[in-house]
This record gives sequence, C-alpha cells and structure tokens, in this order.
Amino acid sequence: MTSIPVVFHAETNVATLAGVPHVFHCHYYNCALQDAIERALGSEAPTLLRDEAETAARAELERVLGAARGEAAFALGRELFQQLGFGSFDATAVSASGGVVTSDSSHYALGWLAMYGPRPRPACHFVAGYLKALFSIAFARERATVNVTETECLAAHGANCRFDVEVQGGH
Amino acid sequence: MAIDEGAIVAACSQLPLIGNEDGLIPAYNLYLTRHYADYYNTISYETVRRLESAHAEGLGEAERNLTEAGHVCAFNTFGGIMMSPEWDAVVRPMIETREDWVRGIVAVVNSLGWGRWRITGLEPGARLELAIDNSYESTGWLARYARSTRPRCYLAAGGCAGIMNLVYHADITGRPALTPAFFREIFHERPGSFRATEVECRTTGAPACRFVTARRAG
Repeated sequence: MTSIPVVFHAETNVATLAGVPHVFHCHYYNCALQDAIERALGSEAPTLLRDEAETAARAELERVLGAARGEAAFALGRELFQQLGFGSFDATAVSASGGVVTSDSSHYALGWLAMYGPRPRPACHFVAGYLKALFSIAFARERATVNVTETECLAAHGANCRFDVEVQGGH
Repeated sequence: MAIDEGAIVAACSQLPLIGNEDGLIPAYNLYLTRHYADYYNTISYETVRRLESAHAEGLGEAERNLTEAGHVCAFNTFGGIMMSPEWDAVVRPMIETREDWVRGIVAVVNSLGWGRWRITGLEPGARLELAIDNSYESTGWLARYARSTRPRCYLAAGGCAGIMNLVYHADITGRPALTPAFFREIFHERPGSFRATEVECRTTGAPACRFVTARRAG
C-alpha cells in the first residue's frame, strides 16, 4: 500500500496530510469521546457524528483524490482510510449505483468492544460518514442523494460491520 | 536540562505509525488513529453548543465528560507511552529526576500534532503550569465560531491532569498495570488526585491557552 505523505511542521508541532491537520488519538479517547457525546445528545448523536465525519473526510478526500473518479478513486480513499488507522473495508460489492461495504476491523467497533463490551446499536458513525464522503466524490454523486447506513456492527453482536450505500433514484 | 525535547520530537514524529494490513495502528498497548483534528473539534463543540442553546441541565455533565475522555486518553496513551520500548530507547536515557518524566512526556505530546505544549512551571508533586501556543482545540474553535466567553480545551485539560496523576499519583515509574480499576482509583477514589483548570484560553482572546494542574482538596 502506498502511503500518502504526512508533513510534520516542527515550527508549530502540527501534522498535516494534504494540508488538513491530523492528530494522534487512541481507541480509548475515540470511544470515550463518542460515549460522552452519545450520553449528551441521545438520539441526535449518530447524525452529528456521521455528518461531521463526512465533512472532515470530504475536505481531505477532495484534495487527495483530485480529478480521480470511479473505482480507482474509491480504492485510493480506501487506502487512505487504512493508512490513518480507521480499519479496512471490502468494497467489492460497491458500484456507482451503491452497494454494500463490509469491515471486520473497524477501529471504532473493535475499540468499543475492548473498552465497553457489546452495545445495542452500531458504533461506527465515523466510518459511515467517511464512506458517504468517499462514495459521493468517487462516483460524482450529490452528497444529498447518498445515504450510508451501518446495518450490522461488530460492536453490536454483528458478524462484521456492514454499511449499505444507497443512492436516491438508484443512479 | 536533561530532556532534549528536540531530539524526542524528531524521533517520535518520524515513527512509522501507519495502518497495518487490517488498517489498524497497534502501538503502546492500544490502537492509534491519525485522525482529523476538525472532527474532534466539531463533534465536541456542536454537542456543547446545542446544550448551551437549549439551556440544558446536562451541559455541565457533558463538559465534565469531555474532559474525562481526556483523562482516559492520558491515562492509557501517556501511560502506555511511558512504559513502551520506544520511551525506554529515546527518553529514559535522558531522565535524571522524576520531574524529567513530566518533561519527557510533554516532549512526546509535541510529536502528536496537538500543537506546542510548554511547561511554564513545575512544583514537584504539587503543581504544573503549562501553556499551549496553538492547541488544536482552540484553533478549531476560532476557525468556526465567534469568541467564547469561557475556556474550551477539554482534551488538553484532561491531558494535563493525566500527566501529573501518572507521574505523582500513580507512580508510572513503577510500571503499574493500566486497568480500568486503577484508572478509577487514581482519578476518582484515592485522595489527592490532580485536576487541571484552563485559566486562559485562545478562544476567549488570550494569546495562548494556559493550564494550572494541582491536587484536588479533600
């Protein structure tokens, strides 16, 4: 896997990838933070977490993918996801009209299980948002027409994490 | 001074911390992500702002939980780092005093992309004064929102308390097991636990974010 360069700016102690600032954090913080937000916002939390993930990922993916589109672009976004430590996913069942993405190594799912054990509902809101950003850019879909829903989750007694990618109108 | 921060930052910032074949970064007995600073900022701040707008009773608890997430982070990540082979190879040879453990972990923090942390005062076993010139939290707030009326660096406050608790309350030099039960003991049960207060914050117009960390009374 070819990694995308990360620049460490020694004069400010800030790290960037494609000009976007990145910070190291562990699964303890990622899950504790998500838990704090879920406790605070209840049913509003998943939407916030997905939407802000999409926004954050989009800002970088637009720069990283450049003019690339289609499956090659999707593959590059997958590599970036993997490089950053979010896990890996299988997108062989995804096309421009949508499909299914699966993962058996989602950082959020595995981290949640390690910290808290199983939960009643899916945990990978960040992944869903990232996939929405990646899909809509790679296949040139209006973001409002794309929905990504985690329908199974390792952290919620699932065999793996499954994300249904739907495009309104089917194309 | 024994700790060579430049050497530590240079070494740590170049570590090959990249996802493996499973897309995971196992390090320091945990899994790391090289995550989006803006994601952390927006999910934290939008949560707080929604509660503020609604004058919700849960605002105080939510903010405490955001800092508690920082305590959890510091306990496990900083603790894991301070017991790692990388620490033993790079930082441990520089250490002459217990206070060098504080200076050493702050140097490592300065390789994480969190901005520049500076120790401005350290009273052994009692008090840490620390400034952050460009905390990623305050940078994110200032890029998105108007000036705040109060400090907003929840993670950094948790991190400062974590450093002092690890070095002076938990004695990380003895290589304790970083279990959930030990976390509760150090941060919530054993008297004398450290807590940090952000006394100045860039989000309110201050030139830097400043934290005072001291033992809780009682």
